[in-house]
Amino acid sequence: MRWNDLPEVRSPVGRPIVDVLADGPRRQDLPGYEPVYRDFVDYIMRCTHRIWEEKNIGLCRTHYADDVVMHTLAGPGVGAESVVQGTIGALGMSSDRQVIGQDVVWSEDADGTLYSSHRINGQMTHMGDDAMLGAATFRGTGATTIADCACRANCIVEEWLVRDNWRAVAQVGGDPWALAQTQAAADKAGDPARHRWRTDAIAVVRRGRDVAIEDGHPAAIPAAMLARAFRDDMFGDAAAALSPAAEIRWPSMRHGHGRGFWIGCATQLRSVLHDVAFRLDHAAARPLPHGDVAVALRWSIAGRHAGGGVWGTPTGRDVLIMAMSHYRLRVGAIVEDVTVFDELAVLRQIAGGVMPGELHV
Amino acid sequence: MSALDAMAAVARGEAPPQLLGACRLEVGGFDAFGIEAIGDAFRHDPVALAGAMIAEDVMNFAAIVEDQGLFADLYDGNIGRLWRAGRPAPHMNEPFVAVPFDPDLRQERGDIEFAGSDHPGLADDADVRVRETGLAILARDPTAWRSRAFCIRAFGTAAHGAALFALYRMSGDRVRVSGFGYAVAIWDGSISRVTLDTVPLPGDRRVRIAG
Repeated sequence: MRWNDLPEVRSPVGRPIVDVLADGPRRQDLPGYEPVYRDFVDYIMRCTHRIWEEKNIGLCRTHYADDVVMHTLAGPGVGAESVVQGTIGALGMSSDRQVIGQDVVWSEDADGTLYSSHRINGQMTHMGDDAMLGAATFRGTGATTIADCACRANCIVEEWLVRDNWRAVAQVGGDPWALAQTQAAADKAGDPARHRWRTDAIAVVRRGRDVAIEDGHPAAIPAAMLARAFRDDMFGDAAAALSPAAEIRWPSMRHGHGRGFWIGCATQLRSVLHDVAFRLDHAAARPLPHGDVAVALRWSIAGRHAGGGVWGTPTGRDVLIMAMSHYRLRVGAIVEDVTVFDELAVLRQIAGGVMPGELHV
Repeated sequence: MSALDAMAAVARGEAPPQLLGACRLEVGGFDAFGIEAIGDAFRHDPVALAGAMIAEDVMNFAAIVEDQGLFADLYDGNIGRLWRAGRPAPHMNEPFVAVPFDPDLRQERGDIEFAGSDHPGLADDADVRVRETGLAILARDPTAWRSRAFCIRAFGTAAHGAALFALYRMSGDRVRVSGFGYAVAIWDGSISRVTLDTVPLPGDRRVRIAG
């Protein structure tokens, strides 16, 4: 299907949750999905609501494949039971969590898989002790998450999850760098083979092979911007895809406006990483209200931490970044960029965690 | 309930059904996301919109009352995004990672960053008014050593309309202080009113991220 087919399957942008979750007849052919789901956007929004807010976490067993792989920058989780346990654990820490969906950008991929990119702001109170956030502080947190899911017949068969964990830790008064060092120290214990996923993922990024984008697809605009920046170091040309007043929201509370600010975000990463490889992993687009277009990109960077800068003294370690970006396009220009990657997990790599990571310097 | 009625309720610290769950309010460098956080921010510092100067179209709403301005994104009358200029943060701002950047990208310094194509509700004849308004904001900005205006919302005509500017300011002190704030402008004929975030700049909570 084309990116703008099925306009009746609407983005949640600009809609009250009572409208998004209203019961009614099917709007989209969804073979194998529960009858309650009206379309694919409804599937993502409603099952998230049922699991997280209605606390019916056992639904993960019918909404995740038994062998699902959930990719995060802290390592993969495997199996629906892992998802169940992780969800219960998260709610044990922040039982009042609202998983507020900001957008669902989706596509039907070549093999018939439905693929969603779900941008979420999780509003919660840190009211229980937690391995990452520490002892309960009763502070509010609200970090952005983007969850990309490949779905077939009511089940998520593969998921990629990025959360602004640096911000979440900072919001409760924690020290992300100290936490990353603690996590890294734990990573160094035990069988290093369990960290092989990271070496494999870096190799995939270095091999390149971007996902194909058809001619005329709106995702080509931001995809070219990222490639021009991270492959060619032509940051000024890359940023020309942005409106001169574009809003930029990157992890760890990087928030500003304009092409120069975007270049600042990109060069802050690029300056500390040498021998950089970039790969575009997935692209999707959907119509938004007012004639705007939403584009979702999943992309990866591999590089060697050899430059002094935002991540401290160079360590020479290989670093992997799994990032997701949601863009709002208007008349072909990017007017908003929301990019998320787990900078806490990057610091964990810098501190020597999720090894093996060879030393180059 | 009209957009004005809904905005007036929000400004009192209430949560009308038009306030969307995914709405974000920015005020004084503070980021309040969701109905509860927005309600809390306005209950700390409510404002009555009676007597406010108002501009509105199908996509946006703007109001200026006394020394503060409100601006909203609308979707079929629902409020999807909010900015409040001229008021301090209701709570301590979050730590953030500072981004070194160049707001100009040229030696000929830019003052207004504005693309008319970003604003479908703005008539062509209003471009000049938006630019003039932005320059007027910069002229009255007391941190004007390096002050730049990014026009992020605008609607209306040359005769009547409104604009929202993100302001980047860097002080001229020996140790420079910088940050973003907002300004709301409404014009109606020969009358033009502007409110902007006040100095000093929002509390600097930048952090060293590692090492």
